[in-house]
Amino acid sequence: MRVADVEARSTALDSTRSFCVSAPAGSGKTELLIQRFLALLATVERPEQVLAITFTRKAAAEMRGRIMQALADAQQDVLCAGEHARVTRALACEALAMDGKNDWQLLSNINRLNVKTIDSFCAGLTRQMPVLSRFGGQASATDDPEEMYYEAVRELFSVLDSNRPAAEDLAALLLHFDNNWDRLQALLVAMLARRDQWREYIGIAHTPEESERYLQKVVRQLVVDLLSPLSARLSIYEPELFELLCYQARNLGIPAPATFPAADPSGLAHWRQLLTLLLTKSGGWRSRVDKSMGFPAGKGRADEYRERLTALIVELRELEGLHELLLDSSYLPDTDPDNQSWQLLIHLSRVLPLLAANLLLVFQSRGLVDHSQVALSALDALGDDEQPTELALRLDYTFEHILVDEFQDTAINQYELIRRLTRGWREHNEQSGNRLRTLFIVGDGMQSIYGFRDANVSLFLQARNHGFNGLQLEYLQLTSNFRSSTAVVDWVNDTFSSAFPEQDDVARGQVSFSKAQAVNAGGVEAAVALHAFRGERATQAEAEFIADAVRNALTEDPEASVAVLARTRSQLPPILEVLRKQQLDYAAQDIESLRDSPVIADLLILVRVLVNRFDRLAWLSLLRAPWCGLELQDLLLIGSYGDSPGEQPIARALADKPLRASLSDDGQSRLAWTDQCMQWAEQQRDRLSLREWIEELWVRLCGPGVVARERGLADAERFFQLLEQADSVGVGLDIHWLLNKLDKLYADPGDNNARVQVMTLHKAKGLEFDCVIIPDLARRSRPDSRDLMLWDEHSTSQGQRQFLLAVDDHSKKESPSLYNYLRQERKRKTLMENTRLLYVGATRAVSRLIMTAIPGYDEAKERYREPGELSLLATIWPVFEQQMIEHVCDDMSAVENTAALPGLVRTARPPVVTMEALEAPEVNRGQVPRFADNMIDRAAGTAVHRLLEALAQIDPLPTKCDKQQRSLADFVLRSLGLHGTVLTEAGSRVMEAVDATLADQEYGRWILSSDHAQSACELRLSTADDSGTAHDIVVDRTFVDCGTGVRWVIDYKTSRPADDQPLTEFLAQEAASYAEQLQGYRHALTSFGEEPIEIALYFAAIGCFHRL
Amino acid sequence: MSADELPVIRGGSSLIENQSQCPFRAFARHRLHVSAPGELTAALSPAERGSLLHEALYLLWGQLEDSEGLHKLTVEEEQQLCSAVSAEALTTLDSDRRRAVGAACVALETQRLTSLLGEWLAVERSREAEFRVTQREHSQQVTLGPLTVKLQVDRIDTLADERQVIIDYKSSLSKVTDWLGERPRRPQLLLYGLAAESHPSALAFAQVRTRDCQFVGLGETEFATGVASDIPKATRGRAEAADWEQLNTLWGEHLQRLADEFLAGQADVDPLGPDTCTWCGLQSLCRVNHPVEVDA
Repeated sequence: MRVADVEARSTALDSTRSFCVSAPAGSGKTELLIQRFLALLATVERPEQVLAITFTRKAAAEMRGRIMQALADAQQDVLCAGEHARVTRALACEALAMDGKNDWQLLSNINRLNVKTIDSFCAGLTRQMPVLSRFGGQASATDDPEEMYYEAVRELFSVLDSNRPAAEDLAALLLHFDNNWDRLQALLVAMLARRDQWREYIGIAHTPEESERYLQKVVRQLVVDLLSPLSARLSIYEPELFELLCYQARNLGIPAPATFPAADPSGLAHWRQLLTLLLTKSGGWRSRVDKSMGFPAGKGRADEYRERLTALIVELRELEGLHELLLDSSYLPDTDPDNQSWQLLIHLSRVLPLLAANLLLVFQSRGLVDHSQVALSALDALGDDEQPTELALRLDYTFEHILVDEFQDTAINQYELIRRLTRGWREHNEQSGNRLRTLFIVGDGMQSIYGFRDANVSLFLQARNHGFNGLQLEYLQLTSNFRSSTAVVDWVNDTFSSAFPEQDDVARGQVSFSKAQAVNAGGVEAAVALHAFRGERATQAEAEFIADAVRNALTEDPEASVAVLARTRSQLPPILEVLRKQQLDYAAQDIESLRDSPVIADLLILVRVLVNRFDRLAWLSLLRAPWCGLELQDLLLIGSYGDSPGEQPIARALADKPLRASLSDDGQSRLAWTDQCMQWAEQQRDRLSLREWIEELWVRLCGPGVVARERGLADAERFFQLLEQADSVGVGLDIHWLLNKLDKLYADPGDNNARVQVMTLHKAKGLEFDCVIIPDLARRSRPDSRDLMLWDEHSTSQGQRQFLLAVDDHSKKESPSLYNYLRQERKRKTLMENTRLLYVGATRAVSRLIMTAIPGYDEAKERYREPGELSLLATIWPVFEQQMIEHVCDDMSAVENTAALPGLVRTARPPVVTMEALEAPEVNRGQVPRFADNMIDRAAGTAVHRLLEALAQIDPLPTKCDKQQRSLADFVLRSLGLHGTVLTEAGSRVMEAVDATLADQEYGRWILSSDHAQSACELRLSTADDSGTAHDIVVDRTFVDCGTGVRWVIDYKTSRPADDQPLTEFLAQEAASYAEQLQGYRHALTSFGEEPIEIALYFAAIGCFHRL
Repeated sequence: MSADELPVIRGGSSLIENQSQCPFRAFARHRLHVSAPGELTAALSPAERGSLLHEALYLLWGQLEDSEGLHKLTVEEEQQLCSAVSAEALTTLDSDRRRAVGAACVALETQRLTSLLGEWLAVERSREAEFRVTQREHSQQVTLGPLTVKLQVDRIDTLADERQVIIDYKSSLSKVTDWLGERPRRPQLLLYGLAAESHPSALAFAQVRTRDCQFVGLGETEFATGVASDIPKATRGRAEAADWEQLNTLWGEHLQRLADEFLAGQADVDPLGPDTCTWCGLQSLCRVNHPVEVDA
C-alpha cells in the first residue's frame, strides 16, 4: 500500500495552523476530520471549544459516533491494525488523557462533543439570543414552510385593491406576466424560499432608490469586467478592427465610433456592432461576409475589405478563449433607465421588501419559521462587523477551533456565519502567540453539486485563496483514493481531466480537475464499461441490460453491493419495472412518490367520497376500484341513472331497487358489500378518529387484500399516520392538505438491507458501492425552460461578492439583456455542475462502473449525433463515443406483447351480503349505555381477559400471579371506574381466577402456552353471517396445537356455577347459550387455513375446560 | 348504445375530441356523466379568461364587420375600440366572481385584453384579401349516423369570391398536425367544416396569445399568413391526401368512425399520447397509472 499524500495528512493534524483541505472522492476525509478533532481535543480546556459543522444530520451523527468509538477503543485498548488506525489511536489516547485530567467524562457524555449541522447550530444561537435574533419567544422551525409563503403572497396581492405605492408596482408586474396571478404567485413563493440570496441587497433595510443604484453599479461593473479582458485580448488588432468597423458603419448608414470603443458601458453599442463583424447570429465564427452586414461584393475596394475581414476572422479564430469572451459580451445589457426590463426590475425591487415583511408577519402569527429564517436570525444575533453583539463576543470566547465539512456546498449564509464567528481571530493569534485559534475547512470543488440549492463553489475557492478576515488558510491537497480500484481511478483520471475546465475561476465558479492516486492496486477486468443503445426498443433493452448487469454483479460476488444511480427520479420507472419482473430485490430511497402508489390512489378515492358524498367521479371510482370492481356495463347503468344523470348523486342510484336488480348478478353481489361498508362509514361519521374511521372502512372493504405489493401496506400505514396528523393539527379531512403532504413523501423504499440500492446521484454523495450503474446518460435534464426571474451571485476577480437579478423581459434568446446574460451564465454553471455530478457518480464505484446511454443516431449519416449539451453524456462524449459497446435493438418481435391497457384489477370475491340484510340495517347503532347488572362481575371479567392476554405473551409462564399481574389488574379495574371496597373485592376475584387458570396444569397452562403456532389473543375480525349481516367479533384465544395440528378457538368465561348447582348442569347451560356465537367464530376462522377447527369454552374462575 | 340513452348524450364537439384522445374519457364524460374536479386558481381561471377573450372578439367584430371596417380605423380609434369591447366583455363576468377576484384583477384583465386585441388586430390587418365576418358564435349541428353533435362556431369569414373560411379562436399553442392522423387531437374545426352548408375553403385556428398571435390553418386558399395550401406537404407522413377535397373526405371518414366507435361502446383506456392524461383528471376512474402488476 502506498499513500502518496502522507505528508499532507500529518500536516493537517497540526493544531496550531489553519487549513483548507481539498479532499477528493474516496480520500478518507471523514477519518481525517476525526483525527484532527481528536488532536484539537487534546489542546483545549473544555471539549465544547472545538466546533465541527457538517452538511447533514446523518453526517453529524456519524462523526460523533466515530469519535466516541475511537475514544472507547482507546479506553479499552482494543487491538488496532493499519497506519491510519494507529494514528487515530495515538490521538485518541492524548484526548483521553486530557479528558481524565479535566474530568470531562466524554465517554458518558456524548453531547459535550460539539458536532452540529449548520441548521442546528443556528437554532442554538437564536435560542441563546431570543431578542437580538428578533424571534421574540420561541419560534420553532418547520420543514414545510411553503404554505406560509403562499399566505405572505396572498397578503401582498391584497395590496392591489389599496392605494399603497406598492400596488402600482405589483400591477405593472402582473400586467407584464399577462395578468397570470398563479404564475406570479408561484414565482414570488420561489423568491421567498430563496430570500437569503437577495435580502441583503433588496431586503427590507433598503429603499428602492438604494436598490436601484446598487443594481446599476453592479451592471456597470459587470460590463467593465467582461469587456476589459476582451479589449486587452484584441489590443493588437485594434487599428484593423477600428477601420473595418468604420467601413461597415458607413455602408450601413449608422454612426461610426470616433475611436475604438472603450471597455465600459459607453462603448457597448459599438462593441455589439463589432461582434456582428466577427460572429453570426447563432454565435458561431462568421465564415461568410456579405452585403447585409455592410460588406458588399465589388471589384477593388469592396473586395479588398471583404478579404481583410475574412483574413482577420481566420486569425482571431486561432486565439484560445477569445470566442468565449466574445460570446459573453454579446449578452451584456444596457442600464438605460427607460429600458423596459430595467423598469421591471425597479418594480420588483419595490415589491420584494414588502413581501419579505409580510412573511415575517406570517411567521409571527403562527409562531413558526423556516430554516432560512433561523439562519438569518443567527446572523443577526451575531451582529455586523461594526456592532458585534454580546453573543458574538461571548461565542468568541467559547470557540477556539472550528472545523467545517463539505465546504464546496456552502451557501452564502453559511459562509457569512463562519466569517462572523472568526472575526478577530487573526488579531488574537498575532497577539497571544499561544492558544492559537484555528479554522479547518474541508471540501472538494469537484464534488460541488448543490447549485440548485444555491450552494456556491466560488465561496470555497474564495475561502481557499483569501481566508476569513485576514486569517489565511494553508492549502492542502489530498490525492490518495482509498475507495476505488486502480482500474476505476485511472479511468476517472483520464476521462475527467479533459471534461473539467483547465483552471479554477472564482468569478465563474469554475473548478479544475486534480488527479487521484489509487491505494488499492489492481481491479477486475473491464472495470469500467460504457454501453450505447439504439433502435426502437432501446429503452427496454437498456433496462434489461441493467437488470442483467445487476444480477451478474450479485452472482460474481455474493457480498457485493450494487447501486443504480440516476440523475432524476423520472429515469427510473422502466428500470424498476424490469427489476421487479425479474424478482431482483431492491431498495429505492426516495424514488417513488407516495402519491403514485396504487394503494394511496385508492385510499384517496375513499377520502373524496367521504368528503363529498355528491362527488360522482369519486363514487364511480370507488365502484371501479379493486375492492368492488364493477364491470363497465354495470357502471354505465349506475352512471346514466335518472333524467339528467350528470346531476344525480350516485348514492341515489344505488338506493333504487329496480336499478340494483338490473345489474349483473356478479355486480349485485359486489356492490352489496361495498354499499354496506359505505353505510357503516356514514353511520360512524364524526364518531371515530379520522384514522380509525378510514382505516377500518378500508379493512372492511378488503382494501389490504387487494394490495399488489407487500410494501403497499407500509404506504397505507404512512397515509393513516397522515390522517392522525390531520386530526392533531385540526385540519380535518382536507383533500388539498393531504395531497400537499403526499407530494412531499415517498413510497416505502422496501428492504433496507437489500443489496441493490436505487437512488439519485445526489443522494449517493458520500456513499460507496462495489458496482455502480449510471443509466440513461443521454437524457437532458429538463427542457430549457424560461424562468420568470433569474438571479446570480458571483464574486468579482477581486473577491467581492455581487448580486444580479433580472425579470424575463420576453426578449429573444440572443438579444442583449440582463435576463439573457444571466440565462447564459446559469447555463454555463449548469454545464459545469453536470460534469461534477457525473464525477460524483463515477467515484462511488469500488471495483466496477457501468454507464449506459441512448444517444441519438442519424440513420442517414450512419453515425451518432452529438448529445444535447445539457445531458450528462455531453460531458464525457468523446471518451464515451470511443469506448462504447454498441447495442442495436430494432427487433420489435422480441418485445413481449405488453398491452399497456389497464385491465380490471379486483378482489376475487367480496363477502356475500343479501339484499334483506341491507334493507334492515341493525337498529340501535348508537352508543346507548346499557344497564349494568353487576358491575363487579363485568369489571372482573374484563380484567381477567386482559391478564390472560398478557400472560399468553410470557414465556415461561409463571406459576402464580406476581406483582406485575397484580398492578395490571388494579390498573384495569380502576380505569373501569372501580374504587374502595368494590375495587378490593374485584381485585381478589381476578387474582383468584387467574391463579386458578395458572394452576390448571392440563388445560389452563396449555391454553396460555407460548409453544403454539399461529396463536393470537383478543383477535379482532369482521365477518358476515348467513343472513349477510356484518359482525365484528373478538376471539379471546386461538392457536394451532403443534402436536395435533388442530386449530383451537377458545372463549374465556369468568362465570361460575351457583353454590348448589352441579357442574355438568352449569356447563350444559353455558354451552347452550354460547354455542351459536362460537359457531360464528368457527366460521370466521375457516379462512385462516386448512386445519380442523375445535371450539371450546374455558371457565377461568374454576379452571375448567369445556369442549363444544 | 340503447335508444333511451341517445337523447341524454351531451357534449358537442368535445365528445368526438374525447373519443379521439382516449375512448375511455369519452365514455366516462358523456355516458357516465362525470367531470373532473376544477382546479383552484388565484384569480381568474384559464377557462374564464378564454371565454372573456371570445366575448371581446365577438363584440369587436360586431363593430368592425369587415376588413374595410378595420382598415379605416385610426390608431387611436382602434385603441379606443379595443378598450371599449374589453371593458364590455368583462361585464359578462358573474358579479360574484367579480367580487371574488377583486376590482384590481378586473382592471388588469381589461388592460391585458385591450393590448392583446391590439396585437391580434395587427395580424388581421396584415391579411391581404378582403373579408367580411359573416358569422359569429354561430350555432350549428352535424349528424354522424345516429349521433347529432351540436356545435358553436366562433367565426366564419366570407372572402371576396364568396368562399367561406372557418375560424376558431384559441389562446393555447395550436398546430395543424392536431387535425391529422386517424385520431386527430383537436377535431373541433373539422367538425365545423363538416357541418358547414357549403364546403369551406379553409379552416384555421386564430391563435390569440400575447407575443405569439397568428393564424394557423389549412385550406385551398391562403387567406392569411400561416394558412397553408400545399396539402401534400402539410400532411406528409400523417395523412394520405393529394388535395383539399381528399383531405376533407378523409376527415369525414375519421370523424364518422370515431362517432361509430363511441356509439358501439368502445371504451378502452387508450390515451393518444403521453400528454393526453395531463389535464384529464379522471385517472382515479380509468386507473391508467395502475396497470396490473406482475407479482400480485
